[in-house]
Parts: sequence; C-alpha cells; structure tokens
Amino acid sequence: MHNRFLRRFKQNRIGMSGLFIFLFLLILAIFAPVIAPYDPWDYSFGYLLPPSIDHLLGTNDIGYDLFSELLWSLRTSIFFGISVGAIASIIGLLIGVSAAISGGLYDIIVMRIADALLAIPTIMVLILIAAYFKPSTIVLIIALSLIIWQTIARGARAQTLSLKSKLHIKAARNMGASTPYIIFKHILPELFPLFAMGFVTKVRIAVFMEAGLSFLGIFDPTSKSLGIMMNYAMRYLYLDVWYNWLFPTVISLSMLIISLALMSYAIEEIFDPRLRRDNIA
Amino acid sequence: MLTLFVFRKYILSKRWVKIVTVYLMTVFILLFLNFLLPRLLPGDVIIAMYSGQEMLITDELYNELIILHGLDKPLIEQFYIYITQLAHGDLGYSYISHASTTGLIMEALPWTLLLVFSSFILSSIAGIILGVESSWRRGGRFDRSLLMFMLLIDGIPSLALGIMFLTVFSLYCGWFPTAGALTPYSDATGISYVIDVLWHLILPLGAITLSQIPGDYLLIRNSMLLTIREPFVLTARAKGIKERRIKYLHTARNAILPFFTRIGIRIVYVITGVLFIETIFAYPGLGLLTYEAISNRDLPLMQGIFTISVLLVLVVNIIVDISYKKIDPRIEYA
Amino acid sequence: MLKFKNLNVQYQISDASKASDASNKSIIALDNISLNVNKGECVSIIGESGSGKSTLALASMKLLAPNASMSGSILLDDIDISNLTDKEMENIRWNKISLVFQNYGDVLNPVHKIIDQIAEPLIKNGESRKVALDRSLEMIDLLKIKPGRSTLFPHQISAGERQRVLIAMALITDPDILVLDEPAASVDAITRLHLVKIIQQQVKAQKAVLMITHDLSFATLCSDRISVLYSGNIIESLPSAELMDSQRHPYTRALVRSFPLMERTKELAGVRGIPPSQFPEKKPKGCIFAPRCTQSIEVCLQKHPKAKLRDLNGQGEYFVVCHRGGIATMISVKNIDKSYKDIAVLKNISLTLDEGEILALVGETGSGKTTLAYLIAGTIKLDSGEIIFRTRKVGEIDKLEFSKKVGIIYQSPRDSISHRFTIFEAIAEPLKIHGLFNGGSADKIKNALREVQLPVDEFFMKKYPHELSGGELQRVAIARALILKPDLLIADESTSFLDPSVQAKILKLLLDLQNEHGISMIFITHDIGVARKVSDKIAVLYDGRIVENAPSHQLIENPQHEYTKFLIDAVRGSKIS
Repeated sequence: MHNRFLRRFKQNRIGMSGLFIFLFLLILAIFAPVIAPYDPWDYSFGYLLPPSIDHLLGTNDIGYDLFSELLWSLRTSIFFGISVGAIASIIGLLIGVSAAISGGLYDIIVMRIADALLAIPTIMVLILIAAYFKPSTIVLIIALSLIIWQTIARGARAQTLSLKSKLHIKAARNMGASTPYIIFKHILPELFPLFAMGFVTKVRIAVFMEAGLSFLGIFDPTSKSLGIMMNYAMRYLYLDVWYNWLFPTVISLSMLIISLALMSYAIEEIFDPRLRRDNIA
Repeated sequence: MLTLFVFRKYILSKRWVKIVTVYLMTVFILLFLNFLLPRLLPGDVIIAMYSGQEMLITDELYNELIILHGLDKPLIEQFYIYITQLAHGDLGYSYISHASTTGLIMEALPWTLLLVFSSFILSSIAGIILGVESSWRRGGRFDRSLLMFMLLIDGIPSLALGIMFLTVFSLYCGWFPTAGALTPYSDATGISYVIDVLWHLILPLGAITLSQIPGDYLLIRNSMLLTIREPFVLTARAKGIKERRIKYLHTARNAILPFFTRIGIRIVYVITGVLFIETIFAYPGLGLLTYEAISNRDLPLMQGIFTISVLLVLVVNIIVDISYKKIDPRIEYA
Repeated sequence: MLKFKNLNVQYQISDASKASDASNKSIIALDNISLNVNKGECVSIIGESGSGKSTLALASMKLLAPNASMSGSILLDDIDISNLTDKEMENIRWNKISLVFQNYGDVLNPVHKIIDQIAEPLIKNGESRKVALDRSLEMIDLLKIKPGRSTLFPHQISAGERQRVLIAMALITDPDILVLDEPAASVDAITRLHLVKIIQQQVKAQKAVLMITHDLSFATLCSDRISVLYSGNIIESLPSAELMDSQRHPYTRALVRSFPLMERTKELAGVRGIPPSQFPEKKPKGCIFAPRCTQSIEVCLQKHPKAKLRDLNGQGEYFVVCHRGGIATMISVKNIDKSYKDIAVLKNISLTLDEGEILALVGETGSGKTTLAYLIAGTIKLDSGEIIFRTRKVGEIDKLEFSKKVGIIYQSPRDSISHRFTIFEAIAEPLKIHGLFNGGSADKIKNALREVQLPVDEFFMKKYPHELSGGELQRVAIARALILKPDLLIADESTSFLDPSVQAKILKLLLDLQNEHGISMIFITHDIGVARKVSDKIAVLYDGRIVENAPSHQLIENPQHEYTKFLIDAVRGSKIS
C-alpha cells in the first residue's frame, strides 16, 4: 500500500505539480534568512518606496523591505501550517485508531466529540482563545490542532475498523500477536495515505487560519505574517500599492494553498481509483 | 408487523440518540469556551480584556472588575446566572460599545444571514450543475479543464479572493461600492432600496460564492463518479429513459446525498468565509462586528457572536437531520 | 425476434497497477457469436461466470460499457441496432426489448419508490401518470408481489421481491423481446416456479425470450433451446431436453456434472482445471476448451474447431463445436460373447464408454462384470464380437502400448502389490516395465503419492506393504495405476473390502483424481448404492447379460428391469422378507 501509494503519487501530474510548487515555497521559507536581502525588522529605509533594484517589491509604510518581509511571512505560514498539520494528524490518527481498537464508551464519547467539533466554527474558537490569553504562536498551534483533528480521526477509525475484520489481521491475532504489534505492523502502514491526506488538508487549514487570524489582528502586529501584510496593504490601497504590496502577498498565499489543494486532490484520487480521470471502465 | 415496527422505532431512536448526543456535546463545547475557560484563568482574562484600553489596572480596579463581572461568586452561581441570561436571549453587555450585545448582534445578523444563505444556495446550485455535467463528461476536455480551473480557484482562500475582487472591481474599475450594505443617507424605499441592497451585495456575495463553488463542485463530481457506476444507472439507461432524466433524477439524486449530509460542515466554511469577506468589504454583518470586537478587545461581544454562530450551525444541522429521511429513504436502516 | 450475427465484443482495460504502461490490453468477451431467438421461443445461455453471458445481455440493448468495442450486428426484428446512437436507442429500449437485470447491489434506484420505477417507462412513453400506475399495479399483482409493497423503497423489500420488481418493470411496456439475466438467482424455490410460469406465458404470447442463467434446471424448465457459452464462444447448442443426459460437448457435460440437480445421485464435480485467463497473452491457437478437456487430441491444440451439426444426418440447427464432434466414444463393445470351457460367462454384450465418463458395472458375484472389464482391458481374449478402443480394435493394438493406456486397481491391494517391493518400488514398477524409469521418476512418484494424500518422506517410501493399512495400501494402488497417465481406469471392487469410513475417503479421492485427470473409468461393484454415488452411467449385469444400461439417476429413479429393482430394493433393505 505504502509503496504503491508513493509510486502512484509520482505518476499523478496534478499531485506532482502541487508538490513542486510546495517544495519551491518551502525552500524559500527555509532559506528566508539567507535569501532575504535585508533584515525584515529593519525599518531604516524610506517609506513606501516603489520597487527598484535595491528593493524588489519596494518598502512599506514604516520602511520595511517588502520582499524580505514577504519571505519571512511565508516562513511563518509554512512553519505554522506544517506544525499544525503534523500535530493534528497525529492526534487524529491516535484517537481514531484507539477508538476503533478499544470501542465501547471511549469510542462513543470521542467520536461524538469529533462530530460536535465539526459544528463549531474553528476560527471563532481561535479568536476567543486569542482574546482571553494573548497566547504565543505555539499555544495557538496546539489549540488549532486540538480542534481540527476530527476528520482524520473519523477516517482512521473507519479504516481501522474495516482492517480489524480483515482475515490477515485475524490470522495474526490467532498466531498470538499483541495489539501493539497489530497496530504498528498491520494497521498504521495501511493508514499512511489517510495520514498523508489528513496532513495536507490540515496544513491547508492552518495556513489559511494563520493568514486569516493575523489579517483580523489576532497575532502580535510586529510579527511577520501574510495576513498582517495584507491588512496593512489594504490601508494604503489608495496609494496604488496593490501591485507591489497587496498582490504579491495575496498571490503567495494563494500559491501555497493551491499547491496543497492540488496535492490533496491527487491523494484523494489515488485513494479511490474509481475517481481516476482516465478510468472510464 | 409489530417486530418491524419496534425494529424501525429502535433504529430510528438510536440514530436520534446519536444526533442529540452530538448536539449536547456541541453545546457543552460552546459553554466550555464561553463560560468555563475564561473563569479557569480569571486574572488573565481581566487583564486581556482591558489591557488594550488606555487605562492602568491597579489592584483596586482589578478587584472592582472582578466583582463587576461576577467572577467572585461561586462557579455554580455564575453558571446559573449565565444560563438564565442566555435563556432570555441576553448574550451579555458590551462595556466598550455601551450596548446590549444581543442588540448589536441582531442588527448585524440579517446582513450576515443574507450573505450566508444566498451564497450557500448559489454555490450549491452552481456546484451541483457543474459537478454533474463535468462528471457526465468524465475524462473529456470540458471535464478536465473545469477540474483544473476549480482546483486553482479552490486554492485561493476567500480572504485573497475578496481582496482581489475589492481591488479590481471596486477600487480600480469603480463598478461597485467599496463598503457597506446600503448607500448612506439615501433613504431609498421599494424597488430602489432592493436595487441598492443588491448593488452592495454583488461583490461580497460573488467573492464568497466563488470561493465556495470549488468545494461543492469537487464533492459532487467525486460522488457522481462513484454513483455513475451503480447498477441502477444502467437500469435506467436500459429503460430508455432520456439522458437528462437519468443524469439528474437517477444519478445526481443519489450523488447529492453526501453533499446533503455535509451541509452542516459546509455552513461552517461559509460562515468562516463570510467573516473575512465582510471585513474586507466593510459589510455590516457579524464578520465586521467580530473584527471590531477584536480591535476593541470587546470580549462579551466576541462571546455573543460565537454563541450565535454555533447556534446558527446547530439550527442548520437540526433542519438537515430532520429532513434527511426525506432525502435518503434508506436512513432508517442505516 | 432477436438475432446476433457474428457479434464480437472486446473490453479495453488500462491496467491500473501499471499506469505508466501505455499498452492497453483487451479482453475478448464475446467471440463471433451468432444466435437467433425467434418469436414464441425461449433460448437459454448457460456457462460459468466470466463466460460473457452478461455481456451478451447488455449487448442486446447496446448498453455495453464505454470501454467496450463491438462488431457484428444485433437485429431486433429487422432493426440493426449495432450502429444506432444512444439517442436513437432511447425509443427502442424497453419498447422493443427489455431486460431483467441481474439482481445485485443497487440495481433499483434506492431513492425512488418501486412503483415509480416500474411505471417510469410508461410515463416516458407519454402515458398519463394514473394509467401508468394502474398498469404497474397490475404487473405487481401478476408477479404476486404483495400489494402493500408498491409504495416502499427497494431496500425495504426482500431480494426475491426485488427480483420480481425487476421482472414487472421489464414487462410493463409489453416488449416483443425479453432478455433475462439470472432471474432465478435470488429467489426461493416456490417463487422460482412462479417465474417459470411467467416466462412460459411470455413465450406463449409470441415473445422472443433470451435467458441467461447458470441454473441448468431453470434453463431446461423455461427454454426450448440452450446455448452453452464458454470464454465468449458458443460451444454447443442443443434442445433443452437433451441437456441433462445427451449433451455432446465435454464442457457441457462438466457443467451438468457440477450442477446440483434434485434427481442426481452422483457426487458433484467441478469443471477440471481453471477457467481461461481473462488476459490471454494471445488468442489460443487451438480449441479454447482444450486445456480443460478430457478428450483433447493433437488437433485440438492446433486449430480452432468448427461447429458440427449434432444431428448425424446433417439436419437441424443444433451444433457442437468440437474437433471430435462432441463427447467421443472411447470404447465401444459390440456383441461380444465369452465362455470359459462351456460355461457362457458373457452373452452378446454391447455397450459404450465415452471419454471422461464413469461407467459402473453392477451385478452379483459371477454375473460376468469382472470378465467384461478385463476383456475391455485386453488382458483376456474374447470369443466373438469386437471391442473398439477409440479407432482401433482392442485385440489389434500392441499389448504393451495398450496396457499403458489402461490402469487397473484391483480388489485386493495386498495381492496386487508384491510384498517384496517397497512402496517406492511398487509405484515405480509400471515405469520400469515400460522403460520409462529415469532420473525424473522419483519426483513423479512423490507427486503421485501426494495426489493420493500419502506422505512422501524417505521413511514412508521405504516401507513394505504389510506395514500399511488397507486404506493406505489402496491409495498406493491408485497411485500406481495412475503413474503412467492412463486414459482408462478400471476399478475392480477396489473399495468393497474397506470399512465404510475409509471407503468413503477412497471413493472421494478416486472421483477427484478421475475428474482432475479427465480420464474415463469403469467402476466394478456389486453395490448399486456405491455405484449411484460415483457413476454417470450404470450397466446392470445379470447372468452374463446386460439387463439395463442407463444414466445413473434414471436407472435409480426409474428402474425398468425387475433385477435392477431387486438390487435397489436389496440395498434399501425393504424386501428382506
């Protein structure tokens, strides 16, 4: 399953273009300190300079170099996204698998919570928590992870349940295999595509949330974020800064999310071969 | 006959036990976030609430505020007060606006509902028609290019879409107003009032609708691709039924079921989207109110908006759960 | 009238596991099918799953999947639908021809009430809703679906009721042609009988009915003619009445043998071998059934057989596609006599043994059954008459050559296997005799032992006969009889000395091996009870004559001769007095 999944992904043009865009942005983010021509907190340049050789995207209202700021903001977005994606999918996987394995009251309670979380607007919860505690980024990452694991848990639970009834797992049980053995050798490897799917989807949600929340002014306004950049750019739109300030930010955010959308669509297609476009039989 | 009756009744009630448990759980989460969480760390909340304002919080003031918010009373009593107020539709008092939270929300709610439901209906119709037609031509050029287009649009967040719409159509083309839901001081009535509302509505509605269509489209398209392979589609073809009837009455009618079950979830997406769109277009709904609440650190207002949005989703869920039996006759046995 | 002319259907499949592999493979689903279904007649198509039955049903309405390509023509009366578009087909479907789908999964739309689904074709034809619903209620009544069911949804009724809904839906527009795909698969025995009546009514009403089924008895009950489909080819076409006892193609016989008929007595046996691959590397050169056939000869692997008329006079439309003209006669015994000194042991015996057939010779001790068997095996000479083995007279075939073709399992393995031989040597003996013992023989012997479910370790193979039980030893004897791959196996009372539980096992083994090797067998026994469980045909010998010779189930069910009746009653123990 595992290997076949990776091979199919490699053959999927949509998925691979998504992956390439993502990797490109990831490299920009990782090497932002190297690539960025200036310190993004350095406001020693002129205000609202138009793009030039020195300042590829010009400067903002207090004299930050916009290109450097953009790279650092991208870094924030991707760091936030990947962290939330990893934590949320691990939580979801753990909860889903354990619910399926243990069953009983635990299963019922946990899955009802999962269903209930679907009805709660995530963004409002984060706004509230941010308003209560002025939390650090790390706390927000954990808070977001704690409220968006539900779809992964549901998928993991359903798949584990169906795996549990498979003969090869029953056989392993009859040979005396322990529950941890079954989970690690038989169940988790089968859940890899689901994990990949969940991870990408959650990264996408997190990137969007980070941009959205900082746009609304939830985050520390001095930190670097695509949302904050957009918010400020909107205030100076009357000065025609859309082409060097607003749109580069908007497009960067869109590119990042598009790359994730492409990957998640590809994974879904691989997951269920009946969705393949070339499969007409 | 009796056993069948009992059987159905039992299964039915089992489904509803599950559904009601979820409702209760949702309300519990709401109460936890609105009531319990701030009281677990009361000091922090007071400071968080007032630190944004130009005032020095002395110990004296701090204690006054604790008493003002009733945080000195036992938790049970606080809870009783909170619930009683809630039951009377009192969502609290906004000290910053010096107004009842309920009043502020009720003023904004109609605009949000207008945006949420009209965009929900429009995007559903567009998503269904495009998804059905695309899947029917699966693998063809129309399907492939529409799919690519939708995947790209799907990747553009509502936030970005709204900003681009505003910049291009309002600021640079000047076709539409940049802010508000009505032209100020126009006092238009009748037809001209409606036109005015629509004129202000088009851009925010367009942005939020466009951002929702790809999700609906992809869901319907995938569901259709699975349904097309069902034997009853072949049965319908064999019966010589006209293609359009097969497409919509037989195939799409079944393919729409997962779409319908997800209405509750999708309404959450729409509300999230509307939050940003209203902020961008300064559209006087709950989204803009939220933005103002955040800027003013108006905690009671935020809590009130949170309550209302959760209740809104709950109401939609209840409607879906009640009417689902009509949509999918198999539900009794599911 | 429904007519297929040289119909070919292929499915293009892109192998999902090798997406990079651009070469698309194709499956041949139907290979040059020609078939007529006339007005007022029902024709059944029988065959294993994967033989292309359902493809034929779908092709009759041009409902093939988009990855299917089709050539040839399909005539509905005089309209050739093979080149019509879907749009043009809309008016033909369900008006000219309707189809009763195989009842699996959601073949009915789960979200529409059944009465609406039955009425839908009428409404589409422009009938008013009221008329359409009234007609639907009539159909529901005709098919004995409980009236209250009509407003339910498909998942709320039983599988048997869904099957009847499908039939009601097909009959609603009163089409001239009716195609039914496995209509009896999901119904109980009583409903099944009702369906037979419904189908017969349709035939009487001058409809052309094509029925696809794997239920052979249902096929004979409903239809006049039967075509046997194997791997996309019709390999035999025959009148229904001849299916059970006079089939001509080895495959048809194998199908009949696998089918659990109420009246049959013999153990069921599957079709030997495995069905042909759906992804053949290339189209086989020879007969498609050759690898599984019990009587394939050189030519069968070389070229495609042509259809031969079943009627020897070259009349009629029934045919069999086989190089050998259908099930061939392996041995024909013509008017033989045999006497020892002046005691006549066999008097004017005639019988035949087909390829792959099991014939039981039943009679009391001294009836001459053993003598007959050994005459056939060529080990004793006959007085008059002749025995033909395939094309040659038994006496004229070289003895050594002929003895290779006949394996014999004797009554007593203790006597038939030298006590000086080890098990290995005993089984090796025939190979040595025929000069075939060589390096590969040890493996051959081990395989033979495995086939008879005996251990293959050195220790066991070095054992001597007296160390084995009777049952084990008989297994060794079977292994020895089969080691030369004979065409004919003679089992001479070879289980009668065993106790019943061991006998049961040995019999089962013998039957399985006979089926898998595809060989003919003469089973000599005095116990007609055993004979009925193992044989296709039974010949009863009494005082040197064959008093009765018939298919086993007929003979047991309806014995003609007094002596046969006596034997059966004796076994039943009902005439002890």
